[in-house]
Amino acid sequence: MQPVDSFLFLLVGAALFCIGLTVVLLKRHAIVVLMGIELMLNAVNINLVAFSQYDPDRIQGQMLALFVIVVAAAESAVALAILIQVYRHFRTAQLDELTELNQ
Amino acid sequence: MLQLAFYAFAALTIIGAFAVLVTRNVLYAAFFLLLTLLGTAGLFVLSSADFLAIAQIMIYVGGVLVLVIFGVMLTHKPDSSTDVSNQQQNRIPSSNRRGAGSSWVVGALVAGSLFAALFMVLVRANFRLLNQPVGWKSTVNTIGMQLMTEYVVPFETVAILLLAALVGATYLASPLAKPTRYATR
Amino acid sequence: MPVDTFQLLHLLTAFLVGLPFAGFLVLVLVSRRVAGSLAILLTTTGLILSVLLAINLPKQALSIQADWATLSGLSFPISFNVDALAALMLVVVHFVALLVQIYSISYLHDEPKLSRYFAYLQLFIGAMLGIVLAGNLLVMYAFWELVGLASYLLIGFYTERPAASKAAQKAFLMNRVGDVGFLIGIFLTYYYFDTLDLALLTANSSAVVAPTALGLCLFMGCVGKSAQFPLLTWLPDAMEGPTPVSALLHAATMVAAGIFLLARIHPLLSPDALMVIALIGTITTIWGGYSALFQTDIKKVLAFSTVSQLGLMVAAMGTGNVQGAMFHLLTHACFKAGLFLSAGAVIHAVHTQDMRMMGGLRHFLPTTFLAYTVCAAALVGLPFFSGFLSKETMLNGAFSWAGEQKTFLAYLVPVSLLLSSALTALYMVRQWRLIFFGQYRNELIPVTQAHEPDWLMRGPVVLLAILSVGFWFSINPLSAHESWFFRIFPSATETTFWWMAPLSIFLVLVGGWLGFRIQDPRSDSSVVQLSLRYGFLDFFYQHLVIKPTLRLSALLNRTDHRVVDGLVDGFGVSVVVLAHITRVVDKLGLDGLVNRIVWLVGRLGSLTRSVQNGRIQSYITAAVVGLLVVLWWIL
Repeated sequence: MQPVDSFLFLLVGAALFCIGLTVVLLKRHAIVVLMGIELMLNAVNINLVAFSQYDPDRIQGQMLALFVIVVAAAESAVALAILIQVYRHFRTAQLDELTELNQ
Repeated sequence: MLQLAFYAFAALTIIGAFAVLVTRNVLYAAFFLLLTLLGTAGLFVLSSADFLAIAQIMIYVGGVLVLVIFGVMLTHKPDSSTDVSNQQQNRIPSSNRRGAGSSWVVGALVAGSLFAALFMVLVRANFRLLNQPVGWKSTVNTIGMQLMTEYVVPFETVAILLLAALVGATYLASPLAKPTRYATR
Repeated sequence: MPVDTFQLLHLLTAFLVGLPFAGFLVLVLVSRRVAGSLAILLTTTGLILSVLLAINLPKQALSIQADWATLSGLSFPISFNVDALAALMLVVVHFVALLVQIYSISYLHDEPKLSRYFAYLQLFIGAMLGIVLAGNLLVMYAFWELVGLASYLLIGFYTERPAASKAAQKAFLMNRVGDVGFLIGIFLTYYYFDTLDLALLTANSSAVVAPTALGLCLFMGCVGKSAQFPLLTWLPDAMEGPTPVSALLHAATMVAAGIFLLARIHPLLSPDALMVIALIGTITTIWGGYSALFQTDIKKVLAFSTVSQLGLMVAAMGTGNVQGAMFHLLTHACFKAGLFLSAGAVIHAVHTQDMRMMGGLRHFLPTTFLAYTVCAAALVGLPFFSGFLSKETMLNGAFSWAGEQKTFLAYLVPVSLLLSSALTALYMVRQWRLIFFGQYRNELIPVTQAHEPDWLMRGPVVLLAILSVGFWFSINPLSAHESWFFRIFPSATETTFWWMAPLSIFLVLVGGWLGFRIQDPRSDSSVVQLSLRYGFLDFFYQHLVIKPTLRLSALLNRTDHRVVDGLVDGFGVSVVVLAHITRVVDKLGLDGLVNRIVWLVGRLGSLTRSVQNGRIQSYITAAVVGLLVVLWWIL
């Protein structure tokens, strides 16, 4: 079996990261923005895992990716909790209506 | 064969992500995110990270995504529609402010140029590592070993972090958490 | 000595220093009910360990070194040093701290911030132990500042009282003034000796005579911490803290840090520096004694008597009598802590600190009365009490020092010291009479409410009073020469003047009789005012230091106003001129240009406004664009 060229993995990671960034930049719904952040984290994980193939003894990349997943889970839990509080307070989850900083 | 699988999973990932970007329905976006995550898990398997793939599916699909869907359900506007079956309630309302199209242009420009930059870096950087041969073996053993030896401190730390985050999230999301309590002092 | 015992002692020392700091961290977190017992448990452990250490002390000093910082090849180790002096101080600090904490449990039993209180006390104990055990000046300085911090926290413990916060700030600032001198002294020491290690410094000092300025700079630290003459006014104000704190910090241990510092650096002091130190000490003791004379606050009298006694010790240090001063430090720690704790019991009973509101309390507080009498007797230096022994030692040392000096004026120092011991008798007996004799004078609180405190408070007081009896220090009640203290620390001066004991007893008795007999003069007479306001020292500070500083800042403020206002005015004038010019240009028919400019400015405004729109996403976009620019720059 011919293994896949790692360059392609990196490319997919880069593309996923850029799409995630676009989601973060453009979407108005806070939950979708959170999804964008998850996409970016996943892109990073793909990169890490791709490099980790060449390090079968210590697999540092995979370990880091593992921690990234765990931290992402914690982050999304807290972020959603905050979001629910924000929603209770402002009655909206649309980011462009949350312009407290503007005042 | 492997190549084919790779392209399939990569396509799944990218298309899912793209669909998240273009869809206007939050719930659809969540399901497309599911596709992307599954594709990513497949990519993990292809780059000989079987444990991570399972972890990805369990944590993201089982945990985070359910959380996200709960979030979607909890934050839709109850007064926007009385009809529960109406799918329009999850729609992202189309923007009525001026320059919505221009913001898409700006976003696409920024992300596109970032992608171009990353691509340039990838092409120019001659990773010597990538020319080495790779083998395929299960990483579960190694991960278990590493977690208990080299990474035991981060492991414990991340456990505490997770606990703290869960407690904090519970506290934040509970109706008892009144932000005004801190305003006095 | 076998190696493992040696290592055990090392471990013990490190443990002793670490224990209170760990206690501080834990006590901040625990609830107020367990805080007291936990703190007492910690300090008891410390006391037992330090007694063990003192008993098992090897002949040569024990030292621990560890690398701390290396700066361009110069290494500054963190080192601890245990010798007989340090072991003695360890036991004293732990002992007094233990009694004070037991006392505090009862005294502050309904204080809501109790656990924080005990945490601060532990911090203080740890810092004090650090000073005592420090093996080089840098480590000592670090702990020295920690003691200052703990003292600040404890003086200002009643944060709800403005006076307490002010007193804490005053103490902190005044200590800083002294500490700056201390720090400069440390730099000078390094400059001259290339080391800060105390043992090496002591060994080297016989070869090289350190300059006077070095000694004086180091002495500045002592001046601040031990409330010597120019910087003495913080100590009476520090009485705003809880009474047990006054007993521990401002009587028994913290202020003793300065004396301890002097004992450590004594070999570095040149004869001229010693002369200055003796003079400062003498001035302080007279000043403090006089200021104590007409105070009405029970704690302030004790505070000034502390100042006076510290002056006495510093003067003894100046006259080269290190052992005498340390001996007095030991006895003073016992009886002054006892006095403060008794005063706390009195305050607890009558709910006021004003001595004019007390009187006749000997019937109501018999135990406190007895303990107070014993401690006061030790303080004024009656025979058979500990204070007598140490005072005799110091006065003998001072007279024999004066005999060795060239000028006759040197006798001024010992004579003043004698005078101050008479003053001590005067104010202590006055206080004793005001509190315990005569009629009860407070109509607001009926005397029947006054009652002895519980045994948690009475126990430490009684124990300290018992330890103030001279018997524990020397079998011979009239001479300290057979004392165990001087067997451990052999004294340099052995001369004893036969007339010393009778003379000082006579002076004390005269002072005491006067104190019991004379009525206070009217409170607005200048004599009383001079005493009440501690020789107008704060007044001088107000006018010589604070006012000029404020005036300088006002001046700066004014110039600022003028310059800035001038600039603004000039700008306004130029704008007016510009407006005229524009008007002329406008009139010449360039309306279009003006409109163009207006339009441009408007566009700019809306553009900048759209950037600052409060939307997070546009901020992120800006951040990513910036990142891209940087990325392109790098590639």
